[in-house]
Amino acid sequence: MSLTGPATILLSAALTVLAVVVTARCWARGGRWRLPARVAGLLAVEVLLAVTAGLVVNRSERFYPTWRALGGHGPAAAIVAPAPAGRLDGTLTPGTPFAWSPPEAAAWRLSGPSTLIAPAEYRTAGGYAFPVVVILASAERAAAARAQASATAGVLTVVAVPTPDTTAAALATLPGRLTRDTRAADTGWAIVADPAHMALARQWHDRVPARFGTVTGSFPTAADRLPAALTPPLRLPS
Amino acid sequence: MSIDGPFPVLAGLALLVSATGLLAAAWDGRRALGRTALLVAVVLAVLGTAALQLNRLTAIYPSWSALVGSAGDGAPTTLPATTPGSGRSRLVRVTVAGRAGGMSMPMTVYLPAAYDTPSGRRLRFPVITALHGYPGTPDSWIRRLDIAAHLDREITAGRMAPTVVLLPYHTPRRLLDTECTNLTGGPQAETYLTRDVRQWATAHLRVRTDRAGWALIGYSSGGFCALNLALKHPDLYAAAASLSGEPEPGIRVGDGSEKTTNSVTWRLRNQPPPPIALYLGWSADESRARLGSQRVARLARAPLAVTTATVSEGGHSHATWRALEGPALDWLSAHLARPRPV
Repeated sequence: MSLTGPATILLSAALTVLAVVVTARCWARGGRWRLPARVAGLLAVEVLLAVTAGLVVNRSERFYPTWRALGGHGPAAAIVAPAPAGRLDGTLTPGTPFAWSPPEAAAWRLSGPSTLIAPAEYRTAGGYAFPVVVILASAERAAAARAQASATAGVLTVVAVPTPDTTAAALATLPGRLTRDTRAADTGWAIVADPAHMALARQWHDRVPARFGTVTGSFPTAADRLPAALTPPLRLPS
Repeated sequence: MSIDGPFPVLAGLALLVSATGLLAAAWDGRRALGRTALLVAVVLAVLGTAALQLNRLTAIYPSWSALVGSAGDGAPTTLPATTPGSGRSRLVRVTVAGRAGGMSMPMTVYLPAAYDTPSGRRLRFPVITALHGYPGTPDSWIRRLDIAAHLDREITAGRMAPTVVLLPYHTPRRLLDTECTNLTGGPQAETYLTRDVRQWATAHLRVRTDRAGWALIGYSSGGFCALNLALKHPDLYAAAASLSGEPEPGIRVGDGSEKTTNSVTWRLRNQPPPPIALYLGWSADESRARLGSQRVARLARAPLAVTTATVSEGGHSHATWRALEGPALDWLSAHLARPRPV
């Protein structure tokens, strides 16, 4: 019988009425058992009234939809999965640009290999995943962007030089590849783009808004708005 | 004796049994007036005991003094002095005198352990505003959902960055449900939360002042509050988490806005989506929050980002919110800007 079903409420209400009737009919009877019978009858009426009212409120508000929930059986506790190591963890030298050219890169239609820059604490903070800044810059601005990224703490940076053939759709596989190659966070990414690539940046952001939190033209602004490097979050068991 | 401990309820039950026994024993020797008095005593004992148990579940009145006094008595308007190097987080109770919203209410502030450290004194921290359900108070977060212990654990484990958490009231009267809106002719809860609370925090705490550093979380009607305020004020908040929240307020605001500007579904259907991130958590066995949250998820369009989370059972109860609390706080921290140098 369902806790919130009408049958349960009707049964409880019927038992309440029955308890009232029985208590009233037996009120003047019972001899030496009169007092305990009265007390038992009254307590039964009080309990059943409270239970019926509780069932009605619970049916309306769905506080406890099942008998299990009422019995205190809560959901299973959240779990923590260890941070998966990045394929390049042993290769990356923190603060030093790394020419990143995974197999998927051909589809990205960039002008050449992207540059990957791990922050200074990348090796010491082993269980942490890092937020990511993807810089879409012209070739002449890429060197300055790399220098800026090398000096920034707590951020994994990718510097990419797009071509006219680079599209948001073409870049779709970049985040997945990066999270396999490094300890990049799943969310909290930012795109920094110069004016020539801002439209591309916005299109890419809108394709995966859950991953990218910020699109801006300024690297310091992007780094300031990024979340901290974090260990893997609690997850609900599936 | 704490008002929300087991002893007041046990005392109420003892009183109820005594009153019932007295009614049964003294009935025959009394006239109508005496019998009526006995009946009234029993009814009051039933209602009083039920109210005490209800209060244990909701923490509407967290203390005996709250039961007889106003909600805002006694707390200072500025942050009490710290104990340097205590190495522990702390909960501080203050009063936020709301000039814009006209509400002057106490607020509890969670300061992470890092806040009082030498390095932390050089940082401005991100902020989460935690909104309680109805009926309920900020003490529901503290006593029923143990938010301070959750925050300590998540921050220590590195799953959250050190974060300041504000626990404000969103009603000046414990039995008045505002749903964090500006009630016509009533409390201006939305203004209080979005302007007064924020101004107090930025004036008295080392917290970030930009939207990237502010987020909301709420359970039950506080979940609606979190969604509604974030969608109405995307210039103030970067993210919001709703635990068993619904997309409509369930009250009359007084100007009909519960069907328009204070309806999450209306806003998603009729307004451009803002660039914020929402976390929607619910229990699978509770249909109203599940269907409402799924409706919000279906209506969301980029640049609005939605993450959903489900627990298999627990209903609309603290068991569900305790299970969702840790994952939701971690998610918020991953969508909030990091502590920033002063």
